[in-house]
Amino acid sequence: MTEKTSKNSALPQQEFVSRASTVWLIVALLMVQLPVWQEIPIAISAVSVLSIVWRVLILLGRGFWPPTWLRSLLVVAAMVTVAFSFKPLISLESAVAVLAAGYSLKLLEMRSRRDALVVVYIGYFLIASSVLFSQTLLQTLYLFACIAVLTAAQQGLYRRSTSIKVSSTLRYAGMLALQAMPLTIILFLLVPRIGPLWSVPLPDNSARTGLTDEMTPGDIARLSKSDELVFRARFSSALPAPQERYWRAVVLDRFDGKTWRQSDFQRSRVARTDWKTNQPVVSGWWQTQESDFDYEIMMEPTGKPWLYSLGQSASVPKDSSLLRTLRLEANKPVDVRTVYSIQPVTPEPVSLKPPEWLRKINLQTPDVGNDRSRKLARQLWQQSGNDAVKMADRVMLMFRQEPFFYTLNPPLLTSAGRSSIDRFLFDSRQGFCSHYAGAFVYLMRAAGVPARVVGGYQGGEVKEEENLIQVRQFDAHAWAEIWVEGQGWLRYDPTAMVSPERINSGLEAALANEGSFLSDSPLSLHRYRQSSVLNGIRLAFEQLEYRWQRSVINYREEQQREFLSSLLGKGDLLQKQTLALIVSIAFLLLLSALLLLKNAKPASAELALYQRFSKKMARRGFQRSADETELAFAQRVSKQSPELAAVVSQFTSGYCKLVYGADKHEGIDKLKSILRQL
Amino acid sequence: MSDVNQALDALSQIIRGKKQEVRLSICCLLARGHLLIEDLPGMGKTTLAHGLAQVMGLDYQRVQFTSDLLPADIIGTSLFDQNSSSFRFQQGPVFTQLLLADEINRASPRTQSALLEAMEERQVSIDGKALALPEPFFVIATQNPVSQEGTFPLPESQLDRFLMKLSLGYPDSAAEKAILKGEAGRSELSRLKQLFSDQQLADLQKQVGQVQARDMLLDYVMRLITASRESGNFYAGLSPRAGLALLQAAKAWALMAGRDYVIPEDVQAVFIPVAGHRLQQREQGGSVRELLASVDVVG
Repeated sequence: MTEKTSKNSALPQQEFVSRASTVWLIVALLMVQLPVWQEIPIAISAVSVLSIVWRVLILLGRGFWPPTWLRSLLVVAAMVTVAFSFKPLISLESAVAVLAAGYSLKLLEMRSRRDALVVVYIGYFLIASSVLFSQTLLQTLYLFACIAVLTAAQQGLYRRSTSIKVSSTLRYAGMLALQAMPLTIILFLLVPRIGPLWSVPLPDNSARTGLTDEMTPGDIARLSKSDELVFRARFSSALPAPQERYWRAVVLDRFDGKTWRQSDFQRSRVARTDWKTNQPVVSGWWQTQESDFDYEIMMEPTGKPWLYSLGQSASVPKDSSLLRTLRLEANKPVDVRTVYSIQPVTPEPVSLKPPEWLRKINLQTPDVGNDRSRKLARQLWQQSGNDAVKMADRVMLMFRQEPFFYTLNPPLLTSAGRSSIDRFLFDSRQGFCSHYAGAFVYLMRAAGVPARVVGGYQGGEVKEEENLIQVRQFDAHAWAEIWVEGQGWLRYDPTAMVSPERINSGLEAALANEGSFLSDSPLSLHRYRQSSVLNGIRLAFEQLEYRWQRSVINYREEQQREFLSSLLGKGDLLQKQTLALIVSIAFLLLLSALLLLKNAKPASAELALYQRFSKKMARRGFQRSADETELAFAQRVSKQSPELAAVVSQFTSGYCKLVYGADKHEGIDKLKSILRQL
Repeated sequence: MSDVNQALDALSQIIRGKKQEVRLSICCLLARGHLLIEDLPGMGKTTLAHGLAQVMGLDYQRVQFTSDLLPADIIGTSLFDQNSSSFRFQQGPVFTQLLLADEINRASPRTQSALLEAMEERQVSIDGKALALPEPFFVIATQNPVSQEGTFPLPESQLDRFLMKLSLGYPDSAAEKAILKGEAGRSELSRLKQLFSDQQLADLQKQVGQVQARDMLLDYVMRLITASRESGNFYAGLSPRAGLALLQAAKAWALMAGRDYVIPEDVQAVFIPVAGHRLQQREQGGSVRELLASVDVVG
């Protein structure tokens, strides 16, 4: 410790990090770490907070510099935390956690300017890495502010004076960041997009709220309260009517008495029907309804492979397959924001007889349990004269007439074991879409009608001016499909019987009496739709956000090609692109050079000569400090390398006589010849 | 220049271990500037002034400033002469070539400004008549550090009248011993010989004006002045008059080094004595020394 102190006191004054710079660095650190704090373990955040508090104490003169052993201990503790918090260990988050820990701990040994620069550079890196987790407009603006503050901190390190106003420092840093904008935009637009050279395992999806491919009543209640965006659908055709807005994502056709799952048949590769490459035989059970909706979906990453389609899908977007359950699935999990479009389809007239194995799958029920429900199903089947549609109508009627209630906080059914359907249908009679869809499908199956649960989203918010529907997590929904001979799969939504508002006006209306809509998130703007001003702000912002996502974040290879060919014309695009890139960069460089030259005073011939001398000296490892005069510099050089002494002092004395003295005969040409000897 | 060096050597025998300060004080004299020495009592301020007067062959007067000193005590008064039945001006101690104003900040502001006006105008006005002061006219003022009791600090506008401000500081151990042995210090003053005539000194002062300062050097001086204004470490930057003073002092310094042109070393040597008392440092701001260190010598 004492050794360290003495070493530091030997540092020249400007190598210290001034108090003002330290404050800037701490503010920058706080700002930069904020976006990643939710991605890293809380213990690492605690280490950050500890370092910051400690550094502030030192700044206030109440703390001491932690000794080496303590710093090492903190580093080890942070690394152990990282090692135990992440499985698998090597992932994006663990890397960011290490970075964040290092960033904060470096504060505790930041004494010289060099240390401070390291802190600044890690900060820039951390800013870049927080883009990996979120790319919203707000986040972007925030990161821009972070860059400005960090730049202010960085350039503060080079300022000698400590009493420069905060506003002036910030303005300067903001100017720097803004000046970088033109080049950034040009590079963004023109540099060819290439696929990732390597990829890291993406955020583990267990932590992410989203639709799952399992449905145990209780799952979707949690989703309903999140206003996170799921996807946006932009229609080229007319918008679908409210009762048509069923967005299919998963089909759950396997029931074990408690949980609905996807059956193996649709998971196995054999079951996939790759419409484009495989040319599957058109079999009657795959397509049933005509769809004349033409739309483009921009979906947020889910980490799952499923895609959304309005009703049963037929057209297959690029890089995805149509499964036998008539839903779309991407060829790999959707880890980035993805855009795909679905064209209208007219089905070919086909026979509508389902294969026997498909019937079997969609009639499956557990062998035991739910005896009352089975009995009820048999009764209803007889009453409806063995007709599937009539049977379905009777069940729907039952949901409407009997005292069933729609709620997001239903009583638990776990104690019922394998007879959860019985417990729901005859005792509790409170639930949400999963309960009703599950019970409906169970009754149909028990009566011998092929049926399945479909999970996805229902409704969404319409944006008339953009012909767009925006779907959020609270629009998550589950409904049923039954097979009707001669008609194929028909959609039935029992929830609509219990709570018509849920289907026609959305969750908010359905829960109007209960008051639990978004009660978990008081800050969500969706809670305040009644206020027209707030709602206006929200809508305007969402539109802005949508444009940002669509045009900036989603600017990929394809979009770039489209944009550039509309700009540069068709033909050899790559060549034109490269040319445009070179020309615009050259233009920018020229512009900045001109601006710089305008500000710079013309260097005299003598000054240029001395600059050449300085360069030669620098190559030999001699750097003149600002206040060192020419003669003092020459003396120092001569002293340290006597072999240069003669030439250097000859040059310097000649130079001084030339520029400061009245002596004219020591001409500039003579000096040049001396300089050549160096 | 040999006589300047002789003078320097002779004075250095008296004021031991303070060669730079002695050199600066001669430089100040050659540049026709007045000198302010700020130091604790007993550091050799008076000895320096006295020695300088003796070596340069100047008339010498000393005024001890006290809080009840009046302007007339410095400038002089008109007395009624009964023989001629008229008023006769009795010259005050200011009518001399070298005036040592001891502890100038102990006098009241009124008295201080009377002296400082005389320094600036190099003449005094009595009863509507302007009386020129002798040529050369050189004031060495000493002051105690402002923190001491019973002082009236000189305002900035008046500090500006002094070309340089120096402080002598404690002597080093060798010098201290020499003083204790009686080989240096005030007791030795009487051994000093006059090395200059009035004419010689006037010539040297004239030569200072002929020392060249080329554009490259003026650029450096301008960079220093600009830096002092823009650094934000000081309440106000250097004035144009301060710039002129800096250049004048640098010229004198160059002349003493035997050159007829100024190089950056000269400016650096005199910068702190010349600029130090003109720049009022902010709290937590960098010092004048840091300012000097931050400005690049070469364009």
